[in-house]
Amino acid sequence: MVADHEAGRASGGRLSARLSERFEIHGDRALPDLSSPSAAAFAASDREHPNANLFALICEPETLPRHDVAAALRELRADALLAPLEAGAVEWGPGGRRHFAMVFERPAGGRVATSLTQPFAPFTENDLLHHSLPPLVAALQELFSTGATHRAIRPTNLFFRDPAQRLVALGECVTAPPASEQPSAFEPIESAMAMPLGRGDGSAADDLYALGVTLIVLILGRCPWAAMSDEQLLAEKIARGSYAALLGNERIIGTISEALRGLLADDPRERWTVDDVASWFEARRLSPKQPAMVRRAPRPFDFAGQSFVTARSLAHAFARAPTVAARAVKAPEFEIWIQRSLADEDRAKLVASALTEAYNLGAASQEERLVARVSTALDPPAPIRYKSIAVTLDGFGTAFAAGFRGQASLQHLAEAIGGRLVQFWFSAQTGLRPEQLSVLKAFDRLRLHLEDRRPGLGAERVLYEMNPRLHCLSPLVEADLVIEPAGILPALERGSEKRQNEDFQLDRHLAAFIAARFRNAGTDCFDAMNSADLSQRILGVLYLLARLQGLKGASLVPALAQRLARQLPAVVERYHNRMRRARIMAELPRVAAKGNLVDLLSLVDGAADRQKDGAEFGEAQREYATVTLELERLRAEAPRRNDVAMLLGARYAATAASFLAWLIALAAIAVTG
Amino acid sequence: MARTTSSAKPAPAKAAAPAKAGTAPRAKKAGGPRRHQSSGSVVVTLGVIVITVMAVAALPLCLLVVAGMLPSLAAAAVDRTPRRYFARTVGAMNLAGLAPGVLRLWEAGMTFASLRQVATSPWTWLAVYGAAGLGWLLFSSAPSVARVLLDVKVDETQRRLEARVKALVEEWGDEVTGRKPAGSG
Repeated sequence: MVADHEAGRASGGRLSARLSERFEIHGDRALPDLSSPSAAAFAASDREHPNANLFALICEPETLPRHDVAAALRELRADALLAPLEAGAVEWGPGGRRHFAMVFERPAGGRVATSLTQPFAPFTENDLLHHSLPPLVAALQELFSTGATHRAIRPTNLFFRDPAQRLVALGECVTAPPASEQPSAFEPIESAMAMPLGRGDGSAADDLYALGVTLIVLILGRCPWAAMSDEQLLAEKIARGSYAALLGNERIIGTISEALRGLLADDPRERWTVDDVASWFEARRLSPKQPAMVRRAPRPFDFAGQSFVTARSLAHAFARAPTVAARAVKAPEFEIWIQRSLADEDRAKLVASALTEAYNLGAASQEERLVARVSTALDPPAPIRYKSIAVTLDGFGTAFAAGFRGQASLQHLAEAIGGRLVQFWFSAQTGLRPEQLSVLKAFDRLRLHLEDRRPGLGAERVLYEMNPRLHCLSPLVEADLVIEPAGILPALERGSEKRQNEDFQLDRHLAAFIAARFRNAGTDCFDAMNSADLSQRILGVLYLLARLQGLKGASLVPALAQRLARQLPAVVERYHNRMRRARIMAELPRVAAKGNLVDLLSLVDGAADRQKDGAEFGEAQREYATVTLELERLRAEAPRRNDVAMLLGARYAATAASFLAWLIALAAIAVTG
Repeated sequence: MARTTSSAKPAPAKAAAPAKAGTAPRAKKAGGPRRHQSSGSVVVTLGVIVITVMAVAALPLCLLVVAGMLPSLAAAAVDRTPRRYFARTVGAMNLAGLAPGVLRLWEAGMTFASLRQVATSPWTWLAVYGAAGLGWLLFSSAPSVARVLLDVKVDETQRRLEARVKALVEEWGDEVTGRKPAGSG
């Protein structure tokens, strides 16, 4: 995925970029007809196959491409699916900023529909059944076999593969988050309730639903629901079912109506699978599944001036007006309606549980959480709806990314996770799959991350844990589109070359990105970075970056090392010995200039030096204490020195007198003798 | 005295051990000055015995010694310090000054005639009292000399220690003092 790149303005102001040393992207040859909502199209050429007819999509910096799906599609060779031949980051534009770019084979016949509001020539049933649909279904079978979903099936993202405009191909699905560019009409009810950036990868059933809606548009040559707003259409779908709501007064006759009913079944378990569609092509007949009856209350529940007879429609209304709904769900009438009119014992238990747990929370936003839980209890398959957000379980990642871009409320997303709404959502589902249990555990872990404000944790950590292929959003490296930990140091080095005079500050995004992507970094660095001691914080940063440099193939970073070295005197001052400090400070510029962070770390925080310094300092402290004690004693004894001198003098005198007496006595004896 | 301590009324059986523990230091405290007093008495007793024996065996020598050692007796009487350095200084010099006279008496024979000969010599008394006076002078001047020597020694030690303190602070900074350096927050 890491692409070699080369960009620049050639003479005459032309802009071009090279992807993987193979594909040339021509910035002066824009192809607006092939552009996606989040990516501009330009002509491209292949150096190995100069005659290939190619185009490239340059993603907007704010979008979150589906790297994992792009990687899966590159392995596919399905004719009816635009799969990237190559994907990677290239420098694009005068600022030298990097963008994700993807190169595709150019469809020969252009786009099927340029707009959903403009009518176009309808497809005949014969064209669809014999030419267009079978390759599309085969492509979807291939795609689903990789575990990926398309999530961008709509008429405006279909292309004619041939100049005769009979063969159709699915457009690209990798330049934007899944289903984020889908009109809500093309999404099943549950997904349509979610905000576009919180719909998630979804499942094959969602793609087949979108295929069904697309078929309606292709057969009719227009959208029959065009007069309705998204909200009205959703309400219609909930009330009448998708098939009836989408067609309105229109009628589609013929064999294809059978497929449409199967594809537009609102219960995903009843919806046709891709194999069902393939079988239907072969046999042209498939036993239609009978749609399950939606439980309707004989007596409506009145809320916000409207009457509701189904749990789903009421839950949807509650989620749209949580403040009013909080009062309604606490009223005894609601409980009575659930128990007597709705007469759904399981749902009544869930609602009771939602009410009990929500009361126990006792925190701010309690009412919104209460409504969110009750809405989930009333309509378990629906997305988690809390305050301004509505997110499916696998849409939290992209929603968080949107939150950091200012496109959604990060606060509300964090509160939804912190308020254990995900856990309640899980408890409301019937028949949890084993893989969902691991997701539940992951959310428990994320909740703990979210509550921890240390560097490397918090909302930023949740963002990178939920989006394994998201590039680092730190302002230090954001323009370099760093996806792998190995890319961090080169990006920081490039930035440091431009900002040599500024102190280096490792921000929360970079810390969280490294913590999420580089498990060997350990936690001690992040603990140090959270310290109140400046030298500890700097040392934590240096340790972290030095460990990154220890990765295989890491390069030297002299500019970054020199920026860090300017902050290291605070670390050097942790040594007690002044001469040792002076020696390290003298060596610092030379070691920094080499760009090896491990060497820099060894110099300023060598274990042997640190241990020796500590031991010697302890010894010096003890010696100082002893010496000062002795000085104190001498000073304290000064007033008593006369007494001491008197005593000593007397002792000396007595000793001297004894000695003299012996000498005289001996001399007298000698003289007399 | 020891008998007095041990013959104290026995403590009640229940408090026997603490009572014993309590009496021991009291006995010790009381024993200090008493022992000193006791050793002083022993010296006096011994002195009386020696003089008595000397008076019986050689009365002239005894008279010479008693007359010659009068400065020492005076010094012993006025010196109330525990170690009696003044008495020891004067006594030692006094004894040294008496030695020639005693030797002359010994040579001349232990008779009163010899005693008169020795005692009437002014040199004998000059030696005896002059030596005692020298002892007194030595004792008086020694503290001044000791003070000078002490000052020299203390000043040198202080200078050496202060230099070491300065060197330690230069090498390790103010932290070595154990106090927080100024401005460290």
